[in-house]
Amino acid sequence: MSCGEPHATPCVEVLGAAVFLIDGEIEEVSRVRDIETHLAECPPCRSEMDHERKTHQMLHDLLTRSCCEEAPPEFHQQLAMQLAAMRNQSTEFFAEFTRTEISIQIEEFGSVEHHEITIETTQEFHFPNE
Amino acid sequence: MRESAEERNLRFERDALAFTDQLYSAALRYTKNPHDAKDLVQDTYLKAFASFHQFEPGTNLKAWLYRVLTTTFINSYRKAQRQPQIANAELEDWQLAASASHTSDQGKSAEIQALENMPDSDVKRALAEIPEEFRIAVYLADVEGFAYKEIAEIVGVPTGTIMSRLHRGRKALRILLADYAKERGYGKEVTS
Repeated sequence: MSCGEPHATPCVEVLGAAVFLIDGEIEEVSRVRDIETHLAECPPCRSEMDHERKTHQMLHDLLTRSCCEEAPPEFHQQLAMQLAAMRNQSTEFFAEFTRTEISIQIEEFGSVEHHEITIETTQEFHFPNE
Repeated sequence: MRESAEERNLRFERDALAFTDQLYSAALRYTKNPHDAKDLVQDTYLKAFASFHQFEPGTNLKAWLYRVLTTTFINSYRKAQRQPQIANAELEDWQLAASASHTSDQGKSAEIQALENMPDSDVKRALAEIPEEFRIAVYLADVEGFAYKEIAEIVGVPTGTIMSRLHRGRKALRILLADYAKERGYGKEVTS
């Protein structure tokens, strides 16, 4: 499409670059300026550009509004548990055991002797990670 | 001081799990069903966890997770789903349809009107219908707001390819949405 008027930057070039301008993907400042100059002096391209900008924004709004499902809570939990389990595979843990031995001795004269021995043990568990 | 494996793993859980909902929503678009979407997100996290030591702190974690998600999808799920790959001829057709859609002023206001009334279900349906490569590019650009270059890194193709897929994908989406609008009877040409 062309408005038929002479421009430093042709209409077809401006329209082809419209989407990149809208996406903010044109890095050269001079190129952005050329396009803006063209738009200022060319009503058909300006109208085309306005429409592109508007539909682009509406499409963006529609997509972000429609695509925002949340994962189910149980799925969040499941992931957290799996990752925690994987993390724990690479660690060691200690288990503490306490054992108490009780012995009661009754002598023939009736005296009672009572002994209690408490034994504490610590066991280390290593899980291979590699 | 060097971060221990334990600290790094905890950091992964803290930082990466914050993206679960976002990744799930993307996975729903990729796989088109909740069951596969959950599997894909789970695989993504397990893979990301295993290679988190390769991730450079301070760089974009979200982009990195999307790269794992997208490559996992392309390499395994797509194969399993046996979806037909888009042929070059088809690409040309999409391009042709897109370039033929030049609109009059009346057509423009009809398009705007159609988009204004578009229900979420139609937007999702349209996204599901466009070719996968286009869908991924459009999703990453327009929902997640990634730049062309970032999308190129996530998908693993040159930036020029992404630009073309994005352009065609958006056009295809607009054409489909206009079709749905006609089916439903809204967004008809405005009569004066």
